[in-house]
Amino acid sequence: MRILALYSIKGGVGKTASAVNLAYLSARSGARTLVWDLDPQGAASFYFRVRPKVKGGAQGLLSGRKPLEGLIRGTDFECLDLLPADFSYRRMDLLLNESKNPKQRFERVLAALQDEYDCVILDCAPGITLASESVFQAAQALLVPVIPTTLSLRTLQQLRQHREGLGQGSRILPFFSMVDRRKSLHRKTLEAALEERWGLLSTPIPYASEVELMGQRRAPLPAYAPASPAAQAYDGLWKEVALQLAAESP
Amino acid sequence: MNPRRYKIGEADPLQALQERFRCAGPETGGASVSYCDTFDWRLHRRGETICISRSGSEYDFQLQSTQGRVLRRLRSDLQPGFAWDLPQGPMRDELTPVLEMRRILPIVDVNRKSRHVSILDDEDKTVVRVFREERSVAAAGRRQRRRALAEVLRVVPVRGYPKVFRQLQKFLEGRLGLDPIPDGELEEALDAIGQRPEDYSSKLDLRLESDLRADDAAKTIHRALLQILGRNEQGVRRDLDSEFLHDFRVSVRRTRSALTQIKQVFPARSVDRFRAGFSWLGSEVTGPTRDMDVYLLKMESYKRNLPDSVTADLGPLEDYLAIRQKETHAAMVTALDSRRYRDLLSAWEAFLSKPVPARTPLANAMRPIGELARERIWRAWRRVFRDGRAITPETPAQALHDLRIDCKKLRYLMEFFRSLFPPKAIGPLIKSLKQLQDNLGDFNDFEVQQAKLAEFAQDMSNRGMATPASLMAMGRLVDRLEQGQQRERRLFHERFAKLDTIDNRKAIKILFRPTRKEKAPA
Repeated sequence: MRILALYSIKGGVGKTASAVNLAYLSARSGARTLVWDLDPQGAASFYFRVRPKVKGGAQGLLSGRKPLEGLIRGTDFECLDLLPADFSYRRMDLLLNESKNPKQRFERVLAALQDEYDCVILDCAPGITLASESVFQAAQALLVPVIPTTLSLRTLQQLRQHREGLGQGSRILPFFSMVDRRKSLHRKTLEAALEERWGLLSTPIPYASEVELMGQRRAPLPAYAPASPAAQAYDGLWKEVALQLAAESP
Repeated sequence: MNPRRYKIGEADPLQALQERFRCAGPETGGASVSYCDTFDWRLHRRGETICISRSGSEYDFQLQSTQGRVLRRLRSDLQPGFAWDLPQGPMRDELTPVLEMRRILPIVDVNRKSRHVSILDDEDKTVVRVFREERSVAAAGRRQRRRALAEVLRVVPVRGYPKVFRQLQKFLEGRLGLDPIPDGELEEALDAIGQRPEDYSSKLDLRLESDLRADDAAKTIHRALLQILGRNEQGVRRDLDSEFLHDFRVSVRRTRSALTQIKQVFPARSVDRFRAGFSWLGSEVTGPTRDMDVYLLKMESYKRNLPDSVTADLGPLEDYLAIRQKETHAAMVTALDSRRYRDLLSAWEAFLSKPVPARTPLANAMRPIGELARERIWRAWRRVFRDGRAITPETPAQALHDLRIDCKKLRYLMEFFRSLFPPKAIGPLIKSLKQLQDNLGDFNDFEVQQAKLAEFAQDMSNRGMATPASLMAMGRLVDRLEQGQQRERRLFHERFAKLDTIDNRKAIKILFRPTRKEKAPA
C-alpha cells in the first residue's frame, strides 16, 4: 500500500482538486484507491457527494476503537473509496496531542487497510501542525501544489527546511498548480524553475474554468471532461508521480 | 457486499423503484463484455474472473469475483494477452503469479442492453445502482447463434451504504416478490453455452477400483491421457501460450511411461508400435519447439542473473530464440498435419476403445490392478532407494541423471494409481518425491542449458545474428549455470536424506509391498 499526501502550508492552491483528480486517475490505472479527507472543511467529501460525517469523530478514528470498515464510503467510481471528513477534525491537533505517539498515529490507523488498498491519498488541511507531522510520518511522498509566484516558492523552501530539520525520509514532490500563462509572473517563474532545476515535477496544472466547475459537477475532472487540457495535465502529472515512485522503490 | 440479481416478471421493477426511491435515470446503455480466464481456469479456481469490454480504442479490464463484484479495474489501450502485457501496476502485480505463462483467453461473450437507475441520497450521491438487463450470449471465438438469457434485474451496492441496499432488497423481494438468482452471470452464461467451468486440469484425475482387470485399468489411464492430449492440440497449433505444448508433451511422456511401466497387459506388437509412435511425437515432433519456449521463458531470469549493464547484450539471443520458435513451431504444425500423426492417433484411439479380450496369454492382463500397481510401485521405490544410496559426492553426474529417470517413472506410476491408495498416505509420499525430483530436475536442467547455450551461440554465429557482446554475455550465463548446477549437486544429499527416512520407508512398505501370496507367480 502506497500512501501519498496532497499537502501545502498555504491554502487555496488547488490541493483538494488535485487530490480528487489524482485519486480518480490512480483508481483508473487499476489501483484500489482510498482518499482520506483530513480537512475539516470537507471539500474532497463534497466533490464526491459524500456527507462529511464520521461516526465517533476524530477521536474514535484515532483511538482505533472504531473499525474503519464501517466508515469508508464508495464513491460513484469503481475501486475509488473515501474516508470522509468530519467537523471534529478541526480539533485534530488537540486529540493527537492527547494520544500516545501522535506522530505515528495516522500511520497506525492506515495500517489496518494494508491489504485492502493499493494507494491511499491524504487530502490534508493546510498549515504546519502536529497533524501534518503525523502525515509526514505516514506518507511515502508529499505532493505539494505550488502556485508559480515568488511567495509560494518561498513557502516551499520553508517546507523543505522544516522537513530537513525533522530529518524525516518521505519525499517532497512539488508541482506547479493553478498556472495562468496570461500572467507574466507565472510564465517567468515557470521558465526559471525549469532552468534552475528547483526539483519541481515537469507537468504544470493550468488554471482552468473546468477545474473550478468541479464544485458544481461534484465529480473528478477527468470523469466529466477527460479531453480537457487540465484533465490531460493531471494525467501527465499522475504518470510522472508514478514514475518517480517506481524509481524509488527497490 | 456482492451484487444481487433477480428474475423479472411482468411488471417493470424500475418503475416501481422510481415511485418509491429517490432516483436518477432511467438511462439506457449497453455493453459487450467477454468473460476470460486461462485455459486451465486459474482465476475461476480462485472464485474470480476477468471481464473485458471495449469502448473505442480503450479496454475496460476488470478483475471480478465470480459473483460479479469488481475487485480491480484497469483501463488501457493495449489488448491484454499475458500478464506481462499489462501496464506496470497493481493489476499486473496481482495477476502475474496467478497467470504465470498462461494467456488470458475469452470464454464467453455477453451482450447487454440495459436500462438503469441510480438510487440517490439527499446529496445526489449514488448509493445503489439498479440495472434491468436483456442479454444474449455466445461462446467466444466460435460462430454460434447467440442465445438469449432471461431478463434480469441486477442490483449493485456501493460501499458504505448497506442500509439502502437492505431496504431495496426488502422492497424487491417483499413488495415486488422478485426471486433472487444465486449464481453470478458468468455461471449462467457458461451454462447457456453448454460449457462446464474448470473442465480442464493438467492433473490426472482417475478413479480406479482395485479389482479392475489390469488391462482394462491401463486402457482407462491411457484414455484419460489421450483426452488431455486432444484438449491441448488446438492451443498447440495456434501457439496460444507455451503451456498447451507443455501439457501435450507431458501427456505423451506419461503415455510412453505407462506403456513400458505397466508390463504384460497389452500385446508386445501393439506396445512396440505405439511406443515408437509416441516417442516420435514427444521428441522429434514437439521437442524443438518446447526447447525454444523454455528458453524464451527463461530470458527474464537470465536477465536478472546478469548485471544491468550486460542485460541488453542478451537482445540478439532473445531475437534468435523468437525466430527459432516460429520456425520450429511451423515445422511442428506440419508434422501434426501429417498422415503419420493422424494414423497414430486414430489407431491408438481404436486400440483403446476395443474391449479387453475374454482370454489372453499375457501374464498381467487379467490380474487385479491393485495388485499389479503395488508390485510396480514397490519395485520402482526399491530402485530409487538402491540407486540413490549409492550416490556419493564423487559419483559421476550420470548416476544422478539415471536416478532422475527412476524417480520420474515412479512418480508417474504413483499418479496413475493414486486413487487405489488412501490419499493421506500417498499424498505426502508424492510430495517428498517431488522435492527430490525438483533438485534432480534442476541439476539436469542446468547442465542441458549450458550445452544448449553453446549450441545456440554456434547457430547464431552461423546465421550472422551474434555480436561479440552477445557471445560474451552468453558465456557469463554459462558460468552462472555451472555454479547453479554445483549448488544443486551439493543439495542432493540433503534432499535424498529427507526422502529416505524410516517413516517413509515404513509407509511405503505398508502401502505397496506385495504379500507373499501375490509374489508367488513369477
